Amino acid sequence: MTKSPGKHPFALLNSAFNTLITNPAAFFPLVMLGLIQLFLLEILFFAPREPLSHFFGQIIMRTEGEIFMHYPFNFAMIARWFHRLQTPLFVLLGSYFLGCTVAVINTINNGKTVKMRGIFKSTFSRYLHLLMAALLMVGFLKLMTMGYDVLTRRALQIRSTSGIYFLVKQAVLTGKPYFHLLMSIVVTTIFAFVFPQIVIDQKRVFPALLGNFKLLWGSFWFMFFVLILPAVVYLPVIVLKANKQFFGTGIFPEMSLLLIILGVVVSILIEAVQYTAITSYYLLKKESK
Amino acid sequence: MKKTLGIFAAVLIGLFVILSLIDTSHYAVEKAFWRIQKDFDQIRQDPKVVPPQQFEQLANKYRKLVERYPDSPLIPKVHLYIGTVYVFKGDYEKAKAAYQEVIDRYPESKNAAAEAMLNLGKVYELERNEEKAVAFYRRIMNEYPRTETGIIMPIYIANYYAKVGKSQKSLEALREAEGFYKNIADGEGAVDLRARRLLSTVYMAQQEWMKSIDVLKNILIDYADSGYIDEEVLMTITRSINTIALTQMDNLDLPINIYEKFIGDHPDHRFNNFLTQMIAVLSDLKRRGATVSEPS
Repeated sequence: MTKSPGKHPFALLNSAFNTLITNPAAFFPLVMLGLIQLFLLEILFFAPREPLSHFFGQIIMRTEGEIFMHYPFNFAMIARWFHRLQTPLFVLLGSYFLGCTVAVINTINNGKTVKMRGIFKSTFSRYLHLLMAALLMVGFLKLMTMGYDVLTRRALQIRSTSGIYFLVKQAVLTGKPYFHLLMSIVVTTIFAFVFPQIVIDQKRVFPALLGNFKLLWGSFWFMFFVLILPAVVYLPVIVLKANKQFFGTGIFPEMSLLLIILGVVVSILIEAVQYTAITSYYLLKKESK
Repeated sequence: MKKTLGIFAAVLIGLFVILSLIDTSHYAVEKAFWRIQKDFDQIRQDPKVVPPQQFEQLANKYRKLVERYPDSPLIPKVHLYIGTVYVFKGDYEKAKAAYQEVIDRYPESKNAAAEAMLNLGKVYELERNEEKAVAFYRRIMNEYPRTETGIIMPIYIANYYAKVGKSQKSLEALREAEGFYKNIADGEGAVDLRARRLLSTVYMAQQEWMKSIDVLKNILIDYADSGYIDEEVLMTITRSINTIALTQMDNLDLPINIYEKFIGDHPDHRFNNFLTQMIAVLSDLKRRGATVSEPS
Protein backbone atom coordinates (compact mmCIF):
# COMPACT_ATOMS: atom_id res chain seq x y z
CA MET A 1 0.00 0.00 0.00
CA THR A 2 1.30 3.47 -0.82
CA LYS A 3 2.16 5.19 2.43
CA SER A 4 1.73 8.37 4.39
CA PRO A 5 -0.26 10.96 2.46
CA GLY A 6 -0.47 13.23 5.53
CA LYS A 7 -3.25 15.84 5.63
CA HIS A 8 -3.14 16.73 1.96
CA PRO A 9 -6.28 15.80 0.04
CA PHE A 10 -4.48 15.25 -3.28
CA ALA A 11 -1.78 13.12 -1.65
CA LEU A 12 -4.38 10.98 0.12
CA LEU A 13 -6.38 10.57 -3.08
CA ASN A 14 -3.25 9.74 -5.03
CA SER A 15 -2.38 7.11 -2.46
CA ALA A 16 -5.93 5.70 -2.61
CA PHE A 17 -5.80 5.63 -6.38
CA ASN A 18 -2.46 3.79 -6.36
CA THR A 19 -3.80 1.31 -3.83
CA LEU A 20 -6.70 0.52 -6.13
CA ILE A 21 -4.44 0.20 -9.18
CA THR A 22 -1.98 -2.11 -7.47
CA ASN A 23 -4.71 -4.07 -5.64
CA PRO A 24 -7.70 -4.51 -7.94
CA ALA A 25 -9.19 -6.81 -5.28
CA ALA A 26 -10.30 -3.63 -3.51
CA PHE A 27 -12.73 -3.05 -6.35
CA PHE A 28 -14.30 -6.46 -6.04
CA PRO A 29 -17.06 -5.78 -3.44
CA LEU A 30 -18.21 -2.63 -5.21
CA VAL A 31 -18.08 -4.30 -8.61
CA MET A 32 -20.35 -6.99 -7.13
CA LEU A 33 -22.69 -4.20 -5.98
CA GLY A 34 -22.55 -2.71 -9.48
CA LEU A 35 -23.38 -6.04 -11.08
CA ILE A 36 -26.34 -6.47 -8.73
CA GLN A 37 -27.56 -3.02 -9.79
CA LEU A 38 -27.16 -3.97 -13.44
CA PHE A 39 -29.09 -7.17 -12.74
CA LEU A 40 -31.95 -5.13 -11.25
CA LEU A 41 -31.79 -2.79 -14.22
CA GLU A 42 -32.06 -5.78 -16.53
CA ILE A 43 -35.11 -7.04 -14.65
CA LEU A 44 -36.69 -3.59 -14.92
CA PHE A 45 -35.88 -3.48 -18.63
CA PHE A 46 -37.70 -6.74 -19.24
CA ALA A 47 -40.43 -6.09 -16.63
CA PRO A 48 -43.04 -4.86 -19.16
CA ARG A 49 -42.28 -7.73 -21.56
CA GLU A 50 -43.20 -11.40 -21.63
CA PRO A 51 -42.77 -13.42 -19.43
CA LEU A 52 -41.88 -10.98 -16.61
CA SER A 53 -44.92 -8.84 -17.44
CA HIS A 54 -47.07 -11.59 -15.86
CA PHE A 55 -45.67 -10.47 -12.53
CA PHE A 56 -44.72 -6.83 -13.10
CA GLY A 57 -47.42 -5.86 -15.62
CA GLN A 58 -50.17 -5.21 -13.08
CA ILE A 59 -47.80 -3.34 -10.76
CA ILE A 60 -46.58 -1.09 -13.58
CA MET A 61 -50.10 -0.45 -14.85
CA ARG A 62 -51.41 0.41 -11.38
CA THR A 63 -48.52 2.55 -10.23
CA GLU A 64 -47.40 4.18 -13.47
CA GLY A 65 -50.11 3.64 -16.08
CA GLU A 66 -50.63 1.33 -19.06
CA ILE A 67 -48.53 3.46 -21.38
CA PHE A 68 -45.38 2.74 -19.38
CA MET A 69 -45.64 -0.90 -20.49
CA HIS A 70 -44.74 0.25 -23.99
CA TYR A 71 -41.76 1.58 -25.89
CA PRO A 72 -40.37 4.23 -25.34
CA PHE A 73 -42.26 5.13 -22.14
CA ASN A 74 -40.85 2.02 -20.46
CA PHE A 75 -37.53 3.89 -20.16
CA ALA A 76 -39.16 6.59 -18.03
CA MET A 77 -40.55 3.85 -15.79
CA ILE A 78 -37.12 2.18 -15.56
CA ALA A 79 -35.44 5.46 -14.57
CA ARG A 80 -38.08 6.18 -11.91
CA TRP A 81 -38.09 2.68 -10.43
CA PHE A 82 -34.31 2.42 -10.46
CA HIS A 83 -34.10 5.75 -8.65
CA ARG A 84 -36.59 4.52 -6.04
CA LEU A 85 -34.55 1.35 -5.57
CA GLN A 86 -31.39 3.29 -4.74
CA THR A 87 -32.19 3.94 -1.06
CA PRO A 88 -33.15 0.34 -0.11
CA LEU A 89 -30.24 -0.90 -2.21
CA PHE A 90 -27.79 1.30 -0.34
CA VAL A 91 -29.17 0.34 3.07
CA LEU A 92 -29.50 -3.39 2.44
CA LEU A 93 -26.57 -4.12 0.13
CA GLY A 94 -24.47 -0.97 -0.26
CA SER A 95 -23.72 -0.87 3.46
CA TYR A 96 -22.48 -4.47 3.37
CA PHE A 97 -20.34 -4.13 0.23
CA LEU A 98 -18.85 -0.83 1.45
CA GLY A 99 -18.02 -2.64 4.69
CA CYS A 100 -16.34 -5.35 2.62
CA THR A 101 -14.33 -2.68 0.75
CA VAL A 102 -13.14 -1.27 4.08
CA ALA A 103 -12.16 -4.79 5.19
CA VAL A 104 -10.24 -5.39 1.95
CA ILE A 105 -8.27 -2.13 2.33
CA ASN A 106 -7.52 -3.04 5.95
CA THR A 107 -6.25 -6.47 4.87
CA ILE A 108 -4.08 -4.90 2.16
CA ASN A 109 -2.76 -2.37 4.70
CA ASN A 110 -1.84 -5.20 7.07
CA GLY A 111 0.14 -6.82 4.26
CA LYS A 112 -2.03 -9.95 4.31
CA THR A 113 -3.39 -11.82 1.33
CA VAL A 114 -6.94 -10.79 0.44
CA LYS A 115 -9.28 -13.78 0.75
CA MET A 116 -12.66 -12.62 -0.41
CA ARG A 117 -14.64 -15.48 1.08
CA GLY A 118 -13.22 -14.72 4.54
CA ILE A 119 -13.79 -11.00 4.13
CA PHE A 120 -17.40 -11.46 3.06
CA LYS A 121 -17.95 -13.80 6.02
CA SER A 122 -16.31 -11.59 8.64
CA THR A 123 -18.07 -8.45 7.34
CA PHE A 124 -21.39 -10.26 7.40
CA SER A 125 -21.03 -10.62 11.18
CA ARG A 126 -21.06 -6.78 11.31
CA TYR A 127 -23.98 -6.49 8.91
CA LEU A 128 -26.60 -5.35 11.42
CA HIS A 129 -24.43 -2.45 12.57
CA LEU A 130 -23.51 -1.50 9.01
CA LEU A 131 -27.18 -1.55 8.09
CA MET A 132 -28.12 0.67 11.04
CA ALA A 133 -25.34 3.11 10.16
CA ALA A 134 -26.57 3.20 6.57
CA LEU A 135 -30.12 3.84 7.81
CA LEU A 136 -28.88 6.78 9.85
CA MET A 137 -27.03 8.15 6.83
CA VAL A 138 -30.12 7.82 4.65
CA GLY A 139 -32.31 9.43 7.34
CA PHE A 140 -29.92 12.35 7.57
CA LEU A 141 -29.87 12.74 3.79
CA LYS A 142 -33.70 12.60 3.69
CA LEU A 143 -33.87 15.43 6.25
CA MET A 144 -31.61 17.56 4.08
CA THR A 145 -33.62 16.71 0.96
CA MET A 146 -36.82 17.72 2.79
CA GLY A 147 -35.18 21.07 3.47
CA TYR A 148 -34.52 21.44 -0.24
CA ASP A 149 -38.12 20.52 -1.01
CA VAL A 150 -39.28 23.40 1.21
CA LEU A 151 -36.94 25.64 -0.77
CA THR A 152 -38.37 24.29 -4.04
CA ARG A 153 -41.94 25.02 -2.93
CA ARG A 154 -40.91 28.55 -2.01
CA ALA A 155 -39.14 28.96 -5.38
CA LEU A 156 -42.28 27.84 -7.20
CA GLN A 157 -44.11 30.80 -5.67
CA ILE A 158 -41.73 33.23 -7.40
CA ARG A 159 -43.61 34.69 -10.34
CA SER A 160 -40.82 36.72 -11.90
CA THR A 161 -39.95 35.80 -15.47
CA SER A 162 -36.66 37.73 -15.48
CA GLY A 163 -34.16 39.30 -13.08
CA ILE A 164 -32.44 38.00 -10.00
CA TYR A 165 -35.51 36.29 -8.46
CA PHE A 166 -36.10 34.41 -11.68
CA LEU A 167 -32.47 33.27 -11.69
CA VAL A 168 -32.80 32.13 -8.06
CA LYS A 169 -35.97 30.23 -8.97
CA GLN A 170 -34.29 28.55 -11.94
CA ALA A 171 -31.22 27.69 -9.88
CA VAL A 172 -33.34 26.07 -7.17
CA LEU A 173 -35.56 24.18 -9.61
CA THR A 174 -32.77 22.84 -11.82
CA GLY A 175 -30.19 22.45 -9.07
CA LYS A 176 -31.74 19.51 -7.23
CA PRO A 177 -29.40 16.78 -8.58
CA TYR A 178 -26.34 18.95 -7.87
CA PHE A 179 -27.62 19.72 -4.38
CA HIS A 180 -28.31 16.04 -3.84
CA LEU A 181 -24.75 15.18 -4.85
CA LEU A 182 -23.37 17.82 -2.50
CA MET A 183 -25.55 16.59 0.35
CA SER A 184 -24.46 12.99 -0.27
CA ILE A 185 -20.86 14.14 0.07
CA VAL A 186 -21.66 16.06 3.25
CA VAL A 187 -23.43 13.02 4.73
CA THR A 188 -20.58 10.70 3.68
CA THR A 189 -18.16 13.12 5.34
CA ILE A 190 -20.20 13.33 8.55
CA PHE A 191 -20.35 9.52 8.78
CA ALA A 192 -16.95 8.92 7.14
CA PHE A 193 -15.33 6.75 9.81
CA VAL A 194 -18.41 4.86 10.96
CA PHE A 195 -17.95 1.94 8.56
CA PRO A 196 -14.19 1.58 9.33
CA GLN A 197 -14.95 1.66 13.08
CA ILE A 198 -17.61 -1.03 12.71
CA VAL A 199 -15.58 -3.28 10.41
CA ILE A 200 -11.98 -2.77 11.54
CA ASP A 201 -12.50 -2.06 15.24
CA GLN A 202 -15.55 -4.30 15.53
CA LYS A 203 -17.51 -1.52 17.25
CA ARG A 204 -21.27 -1.40 17.57
CA VAL A 205 -23.08 1.32 15.66
CA PHE A 206 -23.41 3.94 18.43
CA PRO A 207 -19.86 3.64 19.83
CA ALA A 208 -18.74 3.74 16.17
CA LEU A 209 -20.68 6.98 15.68
CA LEU A 210 -19.08 8.47 18.78
CA GLY A 211 -15.62 7.41 17.63
CA ASN A 212 -16.40 8.78 14.17
CA PHE A 213 -17.26 12.22 15.49
CA LYS A 214 -14.11 12.27 17.67
CA LEU A 215 -11.99 11.47 14.64
CA LEU A 216 -13.85 13.92 12.47
CA TRP A 217 -13.29 16.75 14.94
CA GLY A 218 -10.66 18.93 13.33
CA SER A 219 -10.54 17.00 10.09
CA PHE A 220 -14.06 17.59 8.74
CA TRP A 221 -13.04 19.97 5.97
CA PHE A 222 -10.05 17.82 5.05
CA MET A 223 -12.32 14.77 4.65
CA PHE A 224 -14.89 16.89 2.85
CA PHE A 225 -12.33 17.88 0.22
CA VAL A 226 -11.05 14.32 -0.02
CA LEU A 227 -14.58 13.14 -0.76
CA ILE A 228 -15.71 15.99 -2.99
CA LEU A 229 -12.76 15.79 -5.38
CA PRO A 230 -13.51 12.33 -6.79
CA ALA A 231 -17.26 13.13 -6.72
CA VAL A 232 -16.64 15.92 -9.23
CA VAL A 233 -16.30 13.13 -11.81
CA TYR A 234 -20.04 12.54 -11.36
CA LEU A 235 -20.94 16.08 -12.49
CA PRO A 236 -20.83 15.26 -16.23
CA VAL A 237 -23.23 12.35 -15.56
CA ILE A 238 -25.68 14.75 -13.88
CA VAL A 239 -25.31 17.22 -16.76
CA LEU A 240 -25.96 14.41 -19.26
CA LYS A 241 -28.99 13.15 -17.32
CA ALA A 242 -30.43 16.66 -16.90
CA ASN A 243 -30.04 17.29 -20.63
CA LYS A 244 -30.82 13.84 -21.94
CA GLN A 245 -33.38 15.20 -24.39
CA PHE A 246 -30.62 17.29 -25.90
CA PHE A 247 -28.28 14.32 -25.99
CA GLY A 248 -30.60 12.22 -28.02
CA THR A 249 -33.27 10.44 -25.93
CA GLY A 250 -35.81 11.98 -28.32
CA ILE A 251 -34.25 10.01 -31.18
CA PHE A 252 -32.68 7.20 -29.21
CA PRO A 253 -34.66 6.50 -26.01
CA GLU A 254 -32.21 3.75 -25.01
CA MET A 255 -29.83 6.61 -24.20
CA SER A 256 -31.54 7.08 -20.81
CA LEU A 257 -30.74 3.45 -19.98
CA LEU A 258 -27.12 3.93 -21.05
CA LEU A 259 -26.94 7.02 -18.83
CA ILE A 260 -28.17 4.99 -15.85
CA ILE A 261 -25.50 2.35 -16.55
CA LEU A 262 -22.88 5.09 -16.87
CA GLY A 263 -24.08 6.50 -13.53
CA VAL A 264 -23.70 3.08 -11.87
CA VAL A 265 -20.16 2.59 -13.23
CA VAL A 266 -19.01 6.11 -12.31
CA SER A 267 -20.56 5.82 -8.82
CA ILE A 268 -18.66 2.58 -8.21
CA LEU A 269 -15.37 4.15 -9.24
CA ILE A 270 -16.00 7.20 -7.05
CA GLU A 271 -17.05 5.15 -4.03
CA ALA A 272 -14.05 2.87 -4.44
CA VAL A 273 -11.69 5.86 -4.37
CA GLN A 274 -13.60 7.58 -1.54
CA TYR A 275 -13.73 4.55 0.76
CA THR A 276 -10.13 3.57 0.02
CA ALA A 277 -9.11 7.11 0.98
CA ILE A 278 -11.31 7.11 4.10
CA THR A 279 -9.99 3.73 5.25
CA SER A 280 -6.36 4.64 4.46
CA TYR A 281 -6.70 7.86 6.47
CA TYR A 282 -8.44 6.03 9.30
CA LEU A 283 -5.67 3.41 9.48
CA LEU A 284 -3.04 6.15 9.34
CA LYS A 285 -4.69 7.95 12.25
CA LYS A 286 -4.81 4.69 14.18
CA GLU A 287 -1.14 3.98 13.50
CA SER A 288 -0.13 7.48 14.57
CA LYS A 289 -1.90 7.13 17.97
CA MET B 1 -12.56 -13.52 -7.58
CA LYS B 2 -12.23 -13.22 -11.37
CA LYS B 3 -14.18 -16.44 -11.69
CA THR B 4 -17.03 -15.07 -9.55
CA LEU B 5 -17.18 -11.87 -11.58
CA GLY B 6 -17.06 -13.90 -14.79
CA ILE B 7 -19.96 -16.07 -13.62
CA PHE B 8 -21.94 -13.00 -12.60
CA ALA B 9 -21.29 -11.27 -15.93
CA ALA B 10 -22.22 -14.49 -17.79
CA VAL B 11 -25.47 -14.69 -15.81
CA LEU B 12 -26.29 -11.08 -16.76
CA ILE B 13 -25.56 -11.64 -20.44
CA GLY B 14 -27.25 -15.06 -20.49
CA LEU B 15 -30.36 -13.66 -18.82
CA PHE B 16 -30.46 -10.82 -21.32
CA VAL B 17 -30.24 -13.24 -24.25
CA ILE B 18 -32.81 -15.66 -22.80
CA LEU B 19 -35.31 -12.93 -21.90
CA SER B 20 -34.89 -11.37 -25.35
CA LEU B 21 -35.45 -14.71 -27.06
CA ILE B 22 -38.50 -15.82 -25.08
CA ASP B 23 -40.12 -12.40 -25.28
CA THR B 24 -43.42 -12.90 -27.07
CA SER B 25 -44.64 -9.36 -26.47
CA HIS B 26 -44.59 -6.71 -29.17
CA TYR B 27 -41.59 -4.73 -28.04
CA ALA B 28 -39.75 -5.00 -31.38
CA VAL B 29 -42.73 -3.82 -33.42
CA GLU B 30 -43.44 -1.01 -30.95
CA LYS B 31 -39.84 0.11 -31.28
CA ALA B 32 -39.88 0.00 -35.09
CA PHE B 33 -43.26 1.76 -35.16
CA TRP B 34 -42.01 4.50 -32.84
CA ARG B 35 -39.03 5.14 -35.11
CA ILE B 36 -41.29 5.49 -38.16
CA GLN B 37 -43.58 7.78 -36.16
CA LYS B 38 -40.69 10.24 -35.91
CA ASP B 39 -40.89 10.67 -39.71
CA PHE B 40 -44.68 10.89 -39.52
CA ASP B 41 -44.48 13.65 -36.90
CA GLN B 42 -42.13 15.63 -39.14
CA ILE B 43 -44.44 15.33 -42.11
CA ARG B 44 -47.49 16.21 -40.03
CA GLN B 45 -45.97 19.56 -39.04
CA ASP B 46 -46.50 20.97 -42.51
CA PRO B 47 -47.58 18.41 -45.13
CA LYS B 48 -47.81 21.08 -47.82
CA VAL B 49 -44.04 21.55 -48.01
CA VAL B 50 -43.26 17.82 -48.10
CA PRO B 51 -42.14 16.43 -51.51
CA PRO B 52 -44.59 13.76 -52.82
CA GLN B 53 -42.00 10.96 -52.84
CA GLN B 54 -41.47 11.44 -49.10
CA PHE B 55 -45.11 10.46 -48.48
CA GLU B 56 -44.57 7.29 -50.51
CA GLN B 57 -41.37 6.49 -48.64
CA LEU B 58 -43.16 6.83 -45.34
CA ALA B 59 -46.10 4.72 -46.50
CA ASN B 60 -43.61 2.07 -47.66
CA LYS B 61 -41.94 2.05 -44.26
CA TYR B 62 -45.32 1.35 -42.69
CA ARG B 63 -46.00 -1.38 -45.27
CA LYS B 64 -42.67 -3.05 -44.49
CA LEU B 65 -43.65 -3.06 -40.83
CA VAL B 66 -46.93 -4.76 -41.75
CA GLU B 67 -45.03 -7.39 -43.77
CA ARG B 68 -42.53 -8.03 -40.98
CA TYR B 69 -45.00 -8.21 -38.08
CA PRO B 70 -48.32 -9.24 -39.68
CA ASP B 71 -49.73 -10.65 -36.44
CA SER B 72 -48.98 -7.72 -34.18
CA PRO B 73 -52.00 -6.01 -32.63
CA LEU B 74 -50.41 -2.72 -33.71
CA ILE B 75 -50.91 -3.51 -37.41
CA PRO B 76 -54.48 -2.12 -37.75
CA LYS B 77 -53.14 1.12 -36.31
CA VAL B 78 -50.28 1.06 -38.84
CA HIS B 79 -52.84 0.82 -41.68
CA LEU B 80 -54.62 3.84 -40.20
CA TYR B 81 -51.36 5.77 -40.40
CA ILE B 82 -50.87 4.72 -44.02
CA GLY B 83 -54.28 6.21 -44.73
CA THR B 84 -53.40 9.42 -42.91
CA VAL B 85 -50.14 9.75 -44.88
CA TYR B 86 -52.21 9.67 -48.09
CA VAL B 87 -54.64 12.22 -46.66
CA PHE B 88 -51.66 14.50 -46.06
CA LYS B 89 -50.53 13.85 -49.61
CA GLY B 90 -54.00 14.68 -50.90
CA ASP B 91 -54.35 11.23 -52.48
CA TYR B 92 -57.83 10.50 -51.13
CA GLU B 93 -58.37 7.32 -53.13
CA LYS B 94 -55.33 5.62 -51.61
CA ALA B 95 -56.28 6.95 -48.19
CA LYS B 96 -59.77 5.48 -48.52
CA ALA B 97 -58.29 2.16 -49.65
CA ALA B 98 -56.02 2.03 -46.58
CA TYR B 99 -58.90 2.81 -44.20
CA GLN B 100 -61.17 0.33 -45.97
CA GLU B 101 -58.50 -2.34 -45.49
CA VAL B 102 -58.72 -1.87 -41.72
CA ILE B 103 -62.52 -2.17 -41.82
CA ASP B 104 -62.42 -5.30 -43.98
CA ARG B 105 -59.45 -7.08 -42.42
CA TYR B 106 -59.68 -6.17 -38.75
CA PRO B 107 -63.36 -5.88 -37.82
CA GLU B 108 -62.53 -7.50 -34.47
CA SER B 109 -60.18 -4.61 -33.66
CA LYS B 110 -63.17 -2.49 -32.74
CA ASN B 111 -61.33 0.72 -31.89
CA ALA B 112 -59.22 0.61 -35.06
CA ALA B 113 -62.21 -0.27 -37.27
CA ALA B 114 -64.28 2.54 -35.75
CA GLU B 115 -61.42 4.99 -36.23
CA ALA B 116 -60.99 3.83 -39.83
CA MET B 117 -64.68 4.55 -40.49
CA LEU B 118 -64.35 7.96 -38.85
CA ASN B 119 -61.32 8.75 -41.00
CA LEU B 120 -63.14 7.53 -44.12
CA GLY B 121 -66.01 9.83 -43.22
CA LYS B 122 -63.59 12.72 -42.82
CA VAL B 123 -62.08 12.00 -46.25
CA TYR B 124 -65.60 12.19 -47.71
CA GLU B 125 -66.05 15.44 -45.78
CA LEU B 126 -62.93 16.76 -47.54
CA GLU B 127 -64.47 15.65 -50.86
CA ARG B 128 -67.67 17.46 -49.79
CA ASN B 129 -69.62 14.24 -49.98
CA GLU B 130 -71.91 14.82 -47.00
CA GLU B 131 -74.11 11.82 -47.63
CA LYS B 132 -71.30 9.27 -47.64
CA ALA B 133 -69.53 10.94 -44.71
CA VAL B 134 -72.62 10.79 -42.52
CA ALA B 135 -73.32 7.24 -43.71
CA PHE B 136 -69.96 6.16 -42.28
CA TYR B 137 -70.57 8.06 -39.04
CA ARG B 138 -73.89 6.31 -38.66
CA ARG B 139 -72.22 2.97 -39.34
CA ILE B 140 -69.85 3.60 -36.43
CA MET B 141 -72.84 4.39 -34.19
CA ASN B 142 -74.53 1.15 -35.20
CA GLU B 143 -71.57 -1.23 -35.39
CA TYR B 144 -69.24 0.07 -32.70
CA PRO B 145 -71.41 2.17 -30.37
CA ARG B 146 -69.42 1.41 -27.24
CA THR B 147 -65.96 2.30 -28.59
CA GLU B 148 -64.32 5.63 -27.80
CA THR B 149 -64.99 6.76 -31.39
CA GLY B 150 -68.51 5.30 -31.55
CA ILE B 151 -69.73 6.94 -28.38
CA ILE B 152 -68.89 10.48 -29.56
CA MET B 153 -70.39 9.98 -33.02
CA PRO B 154 -73.93 11.29 -32.37
CA ILE B 155 -72.54 14.60 -31.10
CA TYR B 156 -69.95 14.63 -33.89
CA ILE B 157 -72.75 14.33 -36.48
CA ALA B 158 -74.73 17.15 -34.84
CA ASN B 159 -71.62 19.34 -34.82
CA TYR B 160 -70.87 18.43 -38.43
CA TYR B 161 -74.33 19.52 -39.57
CA ALA B 162 -73.99 22.72 -37.57
CA LYS B 163 -70.59 23.33 -39.19
CA VAL B 164 -71.97 22.99 -42.72
CA GLY B 165 -74.86 25.30 -41.83
CA LYS B 166 -77.64 22.71 -41.60
CA SER B 167 -79.07 23.70 -38.24
CA GLN B 168 -82.33 21.75 -38.63
CA LYS B 169 -80.43 18.53 -39.31
CA SER B 170 -78.14 19.36 -36.40
CA LEU B 171 -81.14 19.63 -34.05
CA GLU B 172 -82.51 16.33 -35.36
CA ALA B 173 -79.10 14.74 -34.79
CA LEU B 174 -79.12 16.03 -31.20
CA ARG B 175 -82.55 14.48 -30.59
CA GLU B 176 -81.23 11.24 -32.06
CA ALA B 177 -78.16 11.53 -29.84
CA GLU B 178 -80.41 11.78 -26.77
CA GLY B 179 -81.98 8.43 -27.63
CA PHE B 180 -78.59 6.91 -28.43
CA TYR B 181 -77.10 7.83 -25.05
CA LYS B 182 -80.18 6.75 -23.14
CA ASN B 183 -79.95 3.38 -24.89
CA ILE B 184 -76.27 2.91 -24.33
CA ALA B 185 -76.32 3.94 -20.66
CA ASP B 186 -76.71 0.54 -19.08
CA GLY B 187 -76.42 1.54 -15.46
CA GLU B 188 -72.80 0.90 -14.64
CA GLY B 189 -69.23 1.07 -15.88
CA ALA B 190 -67.04 3.46 -17.81
CA VAL B 191 -69.21 3.41 -20.96
CA ASP B 192 -72.34 4.23 -18.95
CA LEU B 193 -70.55 7.09 -17.24
CA ARG B 194 -69.28 8.43 -20.56
CA ALA B 195 -72.73 8.07 -22.15
CA ARG B 196 -74.36 9.96 -19.29
CA ARG B 197 -71.82 12.78 -19.43
CA LEU B 198 -72.39 13.08 -23.19
CA LEU B 199 -76.17 12.99 -22.61
CA SER B 200 -75.75 15.96 -20.31
CA THR B 201 -73.80 17.71 -23.11
CA VAL B 202 -76.65 16.95 -25.53
CA TYR B 203 -79.16 18.53 -23.12
CA MET B 204 -76.89 21.57 -22.82
CA ALA B 205 -76.76 21.87 -26.62
CA GLN B 206 -80.57 21.67 -26.63
CA GLN B 207 -80.67 24.25 -23.82
CA GLU B 208 -82.53 21.82 -21.59
CA TRP B 209 -80.69 23.02 -18.52
CA MET B 210 -82.62 21.24 -15.80
CA LYS B 211 -82.33 17.90 -17.58
CA SER B 212 -78.60 18.43 -17.99
CA ILE B 213 -78.17 19.18 -14.27
CA ASP B 214 -80.32 16.16 -13.35
CA VAL B 215 -78.05 13.88 -15.38
CA LEU B 216 -74.92 15.31 -13.73
CA LYS B 217 -76.51 15.05 -10.28
CA ASN B 218 -77.38 11.40 -10.88
CA ILE B 219 -73.82 10.69 -12.03
CA LEU B 220 -72.53 12.08 -8.73
CA ILE B 221 -74.98 10.02 -6.71
CA ASP B 222 -74.74 6.76 -8.68
CA TYR B 223 -70.96 6.80 -9.07
CA ALA B 224 -70.07 8.16 -5.64
CA ASP B 225 -68.46 4.93 -4.45
CA SER B 226 -67.52 3.43 -7.80
CA GLY B 227 -63.95 4.62 -8.24
CA TYR B 228 -64.80 5.90 -11.72
CA ILE B 229 -64.94 9.49 -10.52
CA ASP B 230 -61.64 11.03 -9.54
CA GLU B 231 -60.94 14.60 -8.44
CA GLU B 232 -60.60 15.79 -12.04
CA VAL B 233 -63.97 14.36 -13.13
CA LEU B 234 -65.57 15.74 -9.96
CA MET B 235 -64.23 19.19 -10.76
CA THR B 236 -65.56 19.02 -14.33
CA ILE B 237 -69.00 17.87 -13.20
CA THR B 238 -69.34 20.45 -10.43
CA ARG B 239 -68.05 23.17 -12.75
CA SER B 240 -70.76 22.27 -15.30
CA ILE B 241 -73.49 22.20 -12.63
CA ASN B 242 -72.36 25.54 -11.17
CA THR B 243 -72.05 27.23 -14.56
CA ILE B 244 -75.49 26.12 -15.72
CA ALA B 245 -77.10 27.02 -12.37
CA LEU B 246 -75.48 30.45 -12.26
CA THR B 247 -75.47 31.53 -15.90
CA GLN B 248 -78.57 29.83 -17.30
CA MET B 249 -80.93 29.30 -14.37
CA ASP B 250 -79.84 32.00 -11.94
CA ASN B 251 -80.48 29.51 -9.16
CA LEU B 252 -77.58 28.89 -6.81
CA ASP B 253 -79.75 26.86 -4.44
CA LEU B 254 -79.74 24.09 -7.02
CA PRO B 255 -76.02 23.15 -6.79
CA ILE B 256 -75.97 23.85 -3.03
CA ASN B 257 -78.84 21.38 -2.52
CA ILE B 258 -77.16 18.77 -4.72
CA TYR B 259 -73.88 18.97 -2.80
CA GLU B 260 -75.62 19.05 0.59
CA LYS B 261 -77.61 15.96 -0.34
CA PHE B 262 -74.40 14.22 -1.46
CA ILE B 263 -72.67 15.01 1.84
CA GLY B 264 -75.75 13.91 3.79
CA ASP B 265 -75.92 10.60 1.93
CA HIS B 266 -72.15 9.99 2.13
CA PRO B 267 -70.98 11.51 5.43
CA ASP B 268 -67.44 10.07 5.19
CA HIS B 269 -66.82 10.55 1.46
CA ARG B 270 -63.41 11.83 0.34
CA PHE B 271 -65.11 14.46 -1.86
CA ASN B 272 -66.89 16.09 1.10
CA ASN B 273 -64.11 18.56 1.85
CA PHE B 274 -64.17 19.82 -1.71
CA LEU B 275 -67.97 19.95 -1.81
CA THR B 276 -68.16 21.75 1.55
CA GLN B 277 -65.80 24.40 0.22
CA MET B 278 -67.90 24.62 -2.94
CA ILE B 279 -71.08 25.12 -0.86
CA ALA B 280 -69.34 27.90 1.10
CA VAL B 281 -68.27 29.67 -2.11
CA LEU B 282 -71.74 29.33 -3.68
CA SER B 283 -73.46 30.49 -0.46
CA ASP B 284 -71.19 33.53 -0.41
CA LEU B 285 -72.04 34.28 -4.04
CA LYS B 286 -75.73 33.89 -3.24
CA ARG B 287 -75.46 36.21 -0.22
CA ARG B 288 -73.81 38.84 -2.38
CA GLY B 289 -76.57 38.41 -4.94
CA ALA B 290 -74.34 37.30 -7.81
CA THR B 291 -76.03 37.14 -11.17
CA VAL B 292 -74.81 36.91 -14.72
CA SER B 293 -76.22 39.65 -16.86
CA GLU B 294 -77.04 39.07 -20.51
CA PRO B 295 -74.56 40.68 -22.87
CA SER B 296 -76.03 43.87 -24.28
